[in-house]
Amino acid sequence: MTRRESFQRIALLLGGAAIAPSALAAALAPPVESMFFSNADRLALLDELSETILPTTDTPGAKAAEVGKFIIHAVENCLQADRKKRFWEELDVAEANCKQQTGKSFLDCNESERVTFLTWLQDQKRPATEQDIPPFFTGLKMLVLHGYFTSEVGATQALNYDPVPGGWVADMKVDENTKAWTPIF
Amino acid sequence: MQLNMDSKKKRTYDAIVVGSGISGGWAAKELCEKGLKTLVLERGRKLDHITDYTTAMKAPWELENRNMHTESDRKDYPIQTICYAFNDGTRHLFVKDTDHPYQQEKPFEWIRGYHVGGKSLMWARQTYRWSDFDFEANSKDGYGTDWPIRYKDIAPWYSYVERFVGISGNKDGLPQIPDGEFLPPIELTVAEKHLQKTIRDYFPGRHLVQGRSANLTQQHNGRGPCQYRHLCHRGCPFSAAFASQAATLPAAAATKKMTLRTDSIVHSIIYDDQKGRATGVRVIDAVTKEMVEYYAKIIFVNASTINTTTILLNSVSSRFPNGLGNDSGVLGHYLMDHCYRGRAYATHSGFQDHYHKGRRPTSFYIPRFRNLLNDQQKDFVRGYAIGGGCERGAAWQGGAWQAGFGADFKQAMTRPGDWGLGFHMQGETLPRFDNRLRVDRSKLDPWGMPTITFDCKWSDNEEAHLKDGFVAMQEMMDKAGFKDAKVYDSHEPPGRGIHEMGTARMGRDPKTSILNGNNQLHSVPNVFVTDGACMASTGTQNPSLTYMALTARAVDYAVRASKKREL
Repeated sequence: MTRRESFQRIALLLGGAAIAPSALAAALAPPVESMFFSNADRLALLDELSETILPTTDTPGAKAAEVGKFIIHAVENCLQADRKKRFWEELDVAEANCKQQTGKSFLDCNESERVTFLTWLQDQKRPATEQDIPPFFTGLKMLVLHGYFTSEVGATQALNYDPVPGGWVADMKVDENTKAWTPIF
Repeated sequence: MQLNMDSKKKRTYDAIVVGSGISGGWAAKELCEKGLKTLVLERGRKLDHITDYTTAMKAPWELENRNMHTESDRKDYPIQTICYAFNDGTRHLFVKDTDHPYQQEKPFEWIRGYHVGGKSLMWARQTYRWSDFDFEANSKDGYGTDWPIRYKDIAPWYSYVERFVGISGNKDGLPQIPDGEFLPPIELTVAEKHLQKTIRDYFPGRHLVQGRSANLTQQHNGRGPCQYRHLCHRGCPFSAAFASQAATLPAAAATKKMTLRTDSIVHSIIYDDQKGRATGVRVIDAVTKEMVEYYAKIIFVNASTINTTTILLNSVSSRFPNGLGNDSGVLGHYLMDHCYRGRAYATHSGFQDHYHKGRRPTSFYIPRFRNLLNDQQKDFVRGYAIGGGCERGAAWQGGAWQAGFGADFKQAMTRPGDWGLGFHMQGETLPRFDNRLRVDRSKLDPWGMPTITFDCKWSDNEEAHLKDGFVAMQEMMDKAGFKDAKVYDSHEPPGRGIHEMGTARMGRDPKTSILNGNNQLHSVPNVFVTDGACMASTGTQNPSLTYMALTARAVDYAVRASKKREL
């Protein structure tokens, strides 16, 4: 897979590429009534979901990289209308599921409750007829990963950022601690 | 009357070049360097080298949509977004499809950039010579008409343009892609060398070589060297990726013989019945929409394949009611593109302690191996090349499909990913009369130009290439120990290869072709076409190098003939 193709595959999965527009939205379960979220509510929820997926460690986490803001921008501007609607609906469903399981909003859960809930969310599968569509949690993770690792924080601190390499080294030795080069395309 | 005469004189040049893309830039440089006062007409906007590369130095987080396509992209650029090079950093280099409509009787994806330099800014820079396997193909198997030239006619011109452009590559000693004048190569990755060796050991006749590319691996003619950012398609501020405004247009400008007029849509070529010659061109000013005429004794049409033929078809006179030089009736026919439908990808779990540094502007290339030398196929004629690359991405790029979240997951996502291999077939397409474009005068574009209708499809021979190529790709991946190897058909229509060729082909016989062996209209000796429209077959190689060489060769002929008063 060339860099170009790897980007295309990611973009495609995110709903960005025109070759097969947005698998993500198709991703989403049958629509339900949208409940109560404004983008401001979504921001807080997305930030906390993102931070649970990519927490602060020795490098800043998703919240510091403003991943929630990126996801709102991406869903609002990059997904096709029907798919955008579905994404927000599934986010609502996730929050509703969290409330049902823990008795509170994801925002009010402590860390272990968050981990328990996301572990459950991660196990939710698509029905057999929709196996080509990424489950909601997978779609969310695509956005979180893309948003984080293309942010200044993620690109320069969590990865090895080399904007002007100045040369090509075809073979370099690496070990299990080597960080990936930041993809720039 | 005197005023008119003065005005006409001011609009008279020694030569006119229509288009400033990869071949137009070469025509401009060569004509100017031979001392001709040359007018270059570019239909698009001004786009200066470096200063107008507005996104060249932007970091990923500085791109508004972080390289994702938006709903408005898909609405305004429904065709252009299909192009691999269209993204946040290059959007401004592609036409808005909604401003430049065309018709598709059958799907044809027409990728365009209307600005100085044309697609030479966003091209993929792969540069291979053709060989006599290509120039003799039509005469040998009978598809298409014989090329009026052979390798020996163009070989010195390949060298001439390569020395100026600067091509990175190895001397591979392969007859199907003759060696040229190369700058130092760009080394293959460890996994690519492994694949190369496997192919050499187990698949006689197949060869994996470094993708030869128009990127400067050392300083060359005051340009470069490459900084290994691989953001070439945003415009290279180091002048290390070849583009007209980085190389040929500055050379033309240095002679003080060039006038470059942008926003100048050529409507048609003016033909003088008495003289039996073209005398100039009619230009629509893209901004004011006014028509103005320019005059010259030599006219090079390098508007890019489709637009070149559109201009010729739109140049009607009593002598040429069906388009300039179209006595044969083949103008607009034999439209071709390379067939890139055959794809494959796989991963390799080895070489875990190896990586690479930098982002190289090329990868590898497996030149055609079918129906060549000892290989003879019965199910199809000609063959295909296979391009590709094998590198390690970053783990996060495929990370959403891995289970997990949290600190350990995050840590794993910051690591290099597995080695990923991608293959894409570049299939030769046969010239077929039925594959064509035509101008539709009932549907005009916003500037009053007739729009184009495409009627073009793949043929059985291309399908047979695919069938064979899927097996060939699979067996190479398997033998080299790649896992999760998958071959697939992208089912893309013609056009997406962005190697549109033909429609005003060269040939020996004026009854079946438009241009002669000097790229000169058979019936209008002072008009030349040296872009993709001139091609009589597609070969399997990326075609731009051949356009450049044909252009330099045709200018040399034109100027010599003009001095002998033969034009």
